[in-house]
Amino acid sequence: MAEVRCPMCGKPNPEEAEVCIFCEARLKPLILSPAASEGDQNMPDWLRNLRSADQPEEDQPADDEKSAETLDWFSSPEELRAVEPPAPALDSPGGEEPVDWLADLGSLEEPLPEAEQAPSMAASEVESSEDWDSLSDWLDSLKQEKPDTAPETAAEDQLIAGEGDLELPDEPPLAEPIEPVSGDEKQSLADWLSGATIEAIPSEEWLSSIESAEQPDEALEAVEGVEPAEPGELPDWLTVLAGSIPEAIQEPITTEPEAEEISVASQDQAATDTEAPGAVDAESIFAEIPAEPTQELPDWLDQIDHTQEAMAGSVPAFALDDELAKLQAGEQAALEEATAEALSLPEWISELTAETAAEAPEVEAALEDAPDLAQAKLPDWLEAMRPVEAVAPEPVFLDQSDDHMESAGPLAGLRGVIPGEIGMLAQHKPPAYALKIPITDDQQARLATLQALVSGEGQEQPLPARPARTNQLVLRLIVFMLLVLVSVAALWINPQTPLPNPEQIAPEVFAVQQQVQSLGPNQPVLLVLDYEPGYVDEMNTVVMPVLDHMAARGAHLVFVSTSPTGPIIATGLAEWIGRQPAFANTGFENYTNLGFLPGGVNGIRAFALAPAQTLPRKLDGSPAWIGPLAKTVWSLDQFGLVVVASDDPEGARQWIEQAGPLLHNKTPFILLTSAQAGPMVQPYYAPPTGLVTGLVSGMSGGAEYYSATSRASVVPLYWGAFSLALNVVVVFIVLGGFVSLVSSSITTRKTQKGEENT
Amino acid sequence: MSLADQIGAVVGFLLTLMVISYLFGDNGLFRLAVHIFIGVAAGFTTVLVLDQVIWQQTLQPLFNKPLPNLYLTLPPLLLGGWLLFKGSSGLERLGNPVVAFLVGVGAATAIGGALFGTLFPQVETAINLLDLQAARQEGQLLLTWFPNAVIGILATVVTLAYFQFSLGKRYNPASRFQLLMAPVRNIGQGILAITFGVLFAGVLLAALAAMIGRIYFVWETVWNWISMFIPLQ
Repeated sequence: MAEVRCPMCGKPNPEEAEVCIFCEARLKPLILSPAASEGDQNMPDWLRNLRSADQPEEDQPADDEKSAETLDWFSSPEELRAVEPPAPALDSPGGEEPVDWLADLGSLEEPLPEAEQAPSMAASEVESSEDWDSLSDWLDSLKQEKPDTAPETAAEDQLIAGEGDLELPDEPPLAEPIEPVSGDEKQSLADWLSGATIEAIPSEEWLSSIESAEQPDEALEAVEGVEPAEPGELPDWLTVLAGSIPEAIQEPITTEPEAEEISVASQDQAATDTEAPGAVDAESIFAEIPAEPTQELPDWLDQIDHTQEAMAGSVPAFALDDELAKLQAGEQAALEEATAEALSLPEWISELTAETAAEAPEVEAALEDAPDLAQAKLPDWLEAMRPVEAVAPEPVFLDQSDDHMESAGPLAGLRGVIPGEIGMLAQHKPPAYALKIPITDDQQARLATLQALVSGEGQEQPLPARPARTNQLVLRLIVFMLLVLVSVAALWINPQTPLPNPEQIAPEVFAVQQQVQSLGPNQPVLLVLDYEPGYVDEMNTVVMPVLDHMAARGAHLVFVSTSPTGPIIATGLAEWIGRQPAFANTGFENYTNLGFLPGGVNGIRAFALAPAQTLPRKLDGSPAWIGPLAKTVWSLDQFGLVVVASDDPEGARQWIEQAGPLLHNKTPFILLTSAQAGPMVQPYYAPPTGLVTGLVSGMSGGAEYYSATSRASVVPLYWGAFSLALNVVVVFIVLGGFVSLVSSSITTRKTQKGEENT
Repeated sequence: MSLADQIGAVVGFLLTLMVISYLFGDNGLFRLAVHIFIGVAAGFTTVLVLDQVIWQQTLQPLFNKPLPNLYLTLPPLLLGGWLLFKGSSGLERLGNPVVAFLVGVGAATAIGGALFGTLFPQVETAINLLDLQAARQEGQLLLTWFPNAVIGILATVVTLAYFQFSLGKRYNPASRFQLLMAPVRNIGQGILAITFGVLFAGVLLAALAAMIGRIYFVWETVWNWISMFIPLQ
């Protein structure tokens, strides 16, 4: 369905609508055409417009379909003719268009009296209708009796319509073609409008014709009685006419263009006054007309015709801008000057404007009381000049293809907004994420535990009171006392605890016996004493029988030690040997105490490579490598036997590793160790390839060697007590293991039962 | 018994009792005995080193026959003096070369001894376990020798298998090799446990022997004192 856009608000309206359904602006201009009603045939346009505003919209002629502009009585006659076919304007200037130029002038003059007479419009509306009829009759008669003026009027109309510009001979081409107007017509109209050239006004002819015509009724009388209005005051006939101003007038025109129209209206008024037969003193009226309007036709007036015909649809605010651009500089300057002159209003117009502004509220009130009043029809160019604040907050052009109205965001309420991704997000509410971290009960418990640990770190916690007597102390004392009693009893009683069978001694012990037995007199034997004084009691059970056996064989013993206390131990052993029955008389002197060997493993290596250079002197400082040791100055394998006595497996291993390979399997290597080092050095005894050729380990080994050799030893003193204490220890270990096993099984069963119950 | 021996006996008796008092827990007597032992040992060691090492082996040869003994005495003196820089917090870096020399020599000695004194001989011994001729020379019976040899070799291999701690990039605990090695490692772990038990037994025997010896010393001392005042038959 075809739509018509409202020139005021820009909204679409049905094609057949006369008035905009949104702002009630006129959609179809009021055009005087042959199809107009009979009563309106002789009625001027401005009058017809006034009367049509009272009538309902359906009575409006259908010829307004082509016009999309607001055609109210306020619009200029040029606008009216712009939407009409151009032919009628020239073909029948006098018949179909009754006094167009006059009607145009009257339409221009209408705003002034309308503003003042708005309160009384409703009251005098009925009375003025008859006046209009009478007035229209004589106006029509004027038109018929003056055919010679028709061309002039037509020319003037054309000139007013903007078809020509006398003052701008070099008029630039307009956007739309305009019907050319003859220059003579332009000149005549310009002269008449300027006032100064008002000379050959056939006043007598038309006045006489007017006199012959029917006299107007009251309105005409009112017009006849109109005296020349003083500057600043409206003529009476205009005031009378203002009483019948239709409701189309809603707002007074206060803008400057209004002043232009007022000035033009004043001129038209003057012209009208002069044309009124008998009622108006044209000369007086024209005399009242100020001479400020220049002799020449104002350019703005010509521009009005151009711009109005060039307009189609919405009217730009200043259509002259495009046209001004086409003008030359000189023309533009002249146009601006003319515009400035046109804007300079006479005093009476300015006063009228002030009164109009003062009466605006009254007018609005009257309009509210009279809803049937038609809205004022402003010309397009005038409407375009209206301030933005006075216009309804609606866009002039709306893209109706997108009816989506933004409902969210800063652009809410607007149409034609480019939809973005925000619309998708607006479909659902964004999820609200909780700032708190979800913590389970288990985590909470652990967190509490950690906090308690951290907080309790700096706090002093009282230590639990230790009991004076504990179970372990009691058990320890019992075991000790039992062991002591057994030992003392054994020492006291001296039970003849059998010694190991000499036939069943260990092979390594037997090997030692064999190797010591093979020693010859004064054969040097290296005896290394690397054990601490704390293990003297045990080591004595191992070293003494071997030492006594070597001494008995006449070997020259060479004592050396990597421990600082070794030389002291060596001295004691030497003294013990001297106290033996074999040496009771002579003592034992066949030994050399080299003293302390420093350097650890490096010292052992150095001594093994060069014994005389490593330890050249004895413990007392005398030269050592003389006599029987003179042969062993250069290497260790010159010794007849190397015996290493150690309580530490590490010490024994060092001697084995450093000295054993240098013996080249020529010199036997015997180890005399404590019971705790025996298992560790046992692998080194591996005949025939092993580095160790004999091993005596612990008191049991000493007892075996003592049993095999029957040499002097302390084994018999300790063997009984040792055996009994060892038996007690074994019993304790077995009992303790058994008790531990039973208690652990009971605890496990209790735990299992507890778990089963839970 | 001389006077020194008697005094020594009394001091020894007292110190023994003080050490045995540890049976009731840590106390002052035990600590006194420990302190005395540490002090005496440190003092004796100092005197011994000064006399035996510094004077007799270094200074005295240098004073008596400097030229022949110069190459033997001068380097130890210089290096020993150079090592004294380690005692200063500011000049300790100057003694680093000497320490490096000592560490290097010690490492070389230890590594050489471990290779030629332990590793190679032990491997040779393990190989010779199944040497039938050696067993015959030793007079071992075949019935006892062979099981001993087999057990010895298997125990050695199984114990070494327990010490596999490298996994590798392709370690898969569910693989067939790992499933086969698992019981082997368990057996090796058992053998190690038996070895530790034997070691513990040896330590226990040594401690027991030491205790017996001390008890006998105390008994004998007390008995001698008693016999001094009370004649005993």
